[in-house]
Amino acid sequence: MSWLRKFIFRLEPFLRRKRIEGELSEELQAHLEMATEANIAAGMTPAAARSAAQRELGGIEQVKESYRDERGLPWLEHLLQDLRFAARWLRKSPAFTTVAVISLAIGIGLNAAVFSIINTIFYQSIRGVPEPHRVVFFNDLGVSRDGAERLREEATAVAAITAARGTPATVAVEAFEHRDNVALVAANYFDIFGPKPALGRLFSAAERAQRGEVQPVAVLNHAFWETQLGGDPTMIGRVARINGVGFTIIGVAAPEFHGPGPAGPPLWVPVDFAPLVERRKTGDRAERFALFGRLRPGISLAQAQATIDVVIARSPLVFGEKARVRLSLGREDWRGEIPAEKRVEGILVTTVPLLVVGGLLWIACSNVGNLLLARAVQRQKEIAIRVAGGATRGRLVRMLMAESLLLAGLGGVAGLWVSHAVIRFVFATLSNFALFSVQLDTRVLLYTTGVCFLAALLFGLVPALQASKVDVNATLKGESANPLFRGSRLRAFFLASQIASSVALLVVAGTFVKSLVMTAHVGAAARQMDHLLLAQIAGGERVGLEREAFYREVVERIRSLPGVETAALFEADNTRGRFSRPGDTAIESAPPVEIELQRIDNAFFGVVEIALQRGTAFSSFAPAGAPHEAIVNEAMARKFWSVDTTIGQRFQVGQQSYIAVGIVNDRGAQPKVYAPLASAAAERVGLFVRTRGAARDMTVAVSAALRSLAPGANAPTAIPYREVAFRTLSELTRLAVFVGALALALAAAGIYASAAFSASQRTREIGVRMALGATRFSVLKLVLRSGLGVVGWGSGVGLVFALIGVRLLFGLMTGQSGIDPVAIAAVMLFFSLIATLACALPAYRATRVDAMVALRCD
Amino acid sequence: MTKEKSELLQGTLDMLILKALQRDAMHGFGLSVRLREMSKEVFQVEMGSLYPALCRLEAKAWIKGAWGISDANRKARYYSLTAAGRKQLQEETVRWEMLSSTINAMLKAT
Repeated sequence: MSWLRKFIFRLEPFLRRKRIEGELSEELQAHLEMATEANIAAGMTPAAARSAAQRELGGIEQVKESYRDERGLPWLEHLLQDLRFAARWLRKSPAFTTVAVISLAIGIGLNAAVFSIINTIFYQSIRGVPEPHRVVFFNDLGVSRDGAERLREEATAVAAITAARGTPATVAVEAFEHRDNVALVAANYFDIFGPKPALGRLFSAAERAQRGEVQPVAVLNHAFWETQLGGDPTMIGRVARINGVGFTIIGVAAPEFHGPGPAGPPLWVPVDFAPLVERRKTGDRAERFALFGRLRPGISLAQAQATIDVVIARSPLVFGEKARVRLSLGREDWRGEIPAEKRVEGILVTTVPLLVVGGLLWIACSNVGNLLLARAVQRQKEIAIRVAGGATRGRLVRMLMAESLLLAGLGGVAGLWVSHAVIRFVFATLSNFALFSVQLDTRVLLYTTGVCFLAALLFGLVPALQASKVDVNATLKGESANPLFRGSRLRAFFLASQIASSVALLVVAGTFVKSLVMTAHVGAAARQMDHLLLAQIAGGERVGLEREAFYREVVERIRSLPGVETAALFEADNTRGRFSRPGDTAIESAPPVEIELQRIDNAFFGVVEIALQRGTAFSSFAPAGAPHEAIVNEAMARKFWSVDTTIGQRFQVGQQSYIAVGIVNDRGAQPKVYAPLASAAAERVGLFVRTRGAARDMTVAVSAALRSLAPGANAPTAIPYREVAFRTLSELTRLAVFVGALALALAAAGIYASAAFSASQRTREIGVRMALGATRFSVLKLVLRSGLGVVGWGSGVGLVFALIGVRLLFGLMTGQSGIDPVAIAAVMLFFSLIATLACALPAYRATRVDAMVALRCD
Repeated sequence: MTKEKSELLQGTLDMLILKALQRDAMHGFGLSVRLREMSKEVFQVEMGSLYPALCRLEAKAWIKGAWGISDANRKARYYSLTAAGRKQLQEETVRWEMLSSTINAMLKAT
């Protein structure tokens, strides 16, 4: 325990500094006076007595100094002192501090943002529930309704199990209307997860059995309620229309709860009401439930896994022969059987953004490092004085690192704010993820702190080591060592690395832009899109024949507009259904083959200019009970039959039988079925319009016509198809351009600052040259040569990295090499221009200084 | 005193302070006078060595410090031995005697 006592003993003065120091001063003062008195008593004069006493006993300050080493926590006190001094120093140079903190905030903030997003998607445990570590996830397994029931009953000893699945639906609440995935969940869903309702109540199994509720109910997601409905407390009891059917809102879930995944559905509905929501779709799609549960008390994960494996193996008819499940606690386990294409996608999605923001961070750090190096040269005198006053090299480095830490800390705090803004912006523009809640959790904070430390080391250590190497004598005497060589190699390295990173980012961005331009604007397919308009029309409250008539009226009116060549309708949502052929053994044994089915009218292929290869179009008369006609694409014909034998084949998608009457070549790689549009049943239809002239010109006319037919707040508008088709690619490109521009701006700022600094150091030299008769131009050439040398090196290295990066990136994404000499040459040219400007400007300003002034100034 | 010497004497100084405080409590000045007397003017202890030593001893709870009034009516901090301090003094005295006699014997030998 003595070490504890010693520690407390040392801690006390740290906390009660003033009092302890005061006491010590008193004690020493008393001692001195007593010694003086003794001397006087011995016969000295008061003055002599006092000085004799002082000489004998040593100075008070020195005593205090050695005393302090025994008490107090010297390292902590030094650190605080350094930080205090660093703060003062930063405050004295606001321009430098602002630039540095902004650069760091951008670099650190972007890193934090990307990490937060990845963290949420891959590592987030379920939130908003009690004992989240007992919640078990069933990975890699989708079951039918029977399967879910079977598992729930037979595994009840080890876990309480619930099931959920999502279905696309239009959700309309008050003025808000949105298309999203609605969650259909078992009655015991909330019982098992256990979140508390923030408002109203949640449905439970017991309640539903007891009340025998017939009225459809729904529970709102808290984030959805807050952002889209304004957090209106009167929402309880109001009606939400899901695919047109009214559901009473009975409650809002707890703020953090949004179900097991990272993105939450806007609302939860008991699965008993699924037929209401999926009116037209029952049987068309393979119902696949995801399972979740809670481990019973005392049961371990291994026990549960074993029991459930047995249950599944026992019933291959229900679960499928090759069904396997992996249980995980607290969150979904993303490892495991990920098919090959998805794995590549997964790597891309995580590593590429990290690399990019890492590059930006590096650029930012290089910027700050360069600035620090430049300032260090200016602080030579101050550092020399410190060394003369007794500071060791280690102490100096610690002091300078404290400054870097403070800068990094400020940058980190500002960076968190930046990351918050970036995340909000990203999710505002990607409407699919409106309900993602990315929250700041401890992992993100730790990561950000780590990044701050790393950044401080990166940009701070080397300048600190450099600055502490000082020739005390020479500096104090006023002779500065040749400023050109003072740390210039280091600065050149920082600058070159900065340039390399930004060139790399710029080249990648440029390649993206070029690829977008090529795909979207050049070539036959692209030109075709110039004539296509797309609109979406909702059936609204009309039903049956009235709806059919409405759609027909719309398409005929549009067709009659001048400038419109033709128009076609198709069902707005494609369905996916399980494919089967008559004669297939009717067990869900193999993993179900799902194919896409799109409902279209006869004019569709004409509008999108896809030719019917074989067979005929749909006949307008379909006898009841006969299998529906369907046209398949070439990929499907080749996959299941052969191109020659497809016509006349029967097959089923989900519960509906079809007979193939034609084959089209839609250039798609995946099998797809086109079926006739049953417009009476279609909630929403899409309208394709082929225009004679440019589609853009017809947008207004078509939109006006649509509005007149379907007035109201949600009137449909027509959009040029190109905008829709390339939305993702163009958003990516926009992002790439933004990143590239940021990289360029940071690099240009860095080059400018460095060039300005060099120029200022060389003012005297330039003055001499000009006084001796050099022309402005030759001086400019001289300064530029040294500056551009560094730029050249940096660009070269950056180009190499860029080529590797582009090769990898594009190779993984599209299978092409992606190395486009035109794009690269354009980017390099652009960059060289900017770099030259950034170098030349300070040089030019240096030449404008009066030679006499330059010679005289220091 | 050079650094080297003072380190050697640090432990010894602590021991001597304990000895000086054996009879009665004293303040810093009195202690330095006492040490001078006891060593017959050989050891003139500077404040810079004395007070850190007092701090060390206080940290180890071998002495205890308390504010009091000196005979000249001045406020001063008095240090006194604790029980643990007395025991320590005894142990160190024994150890020192053994050490010094060994060294003496070694030096006397040829």
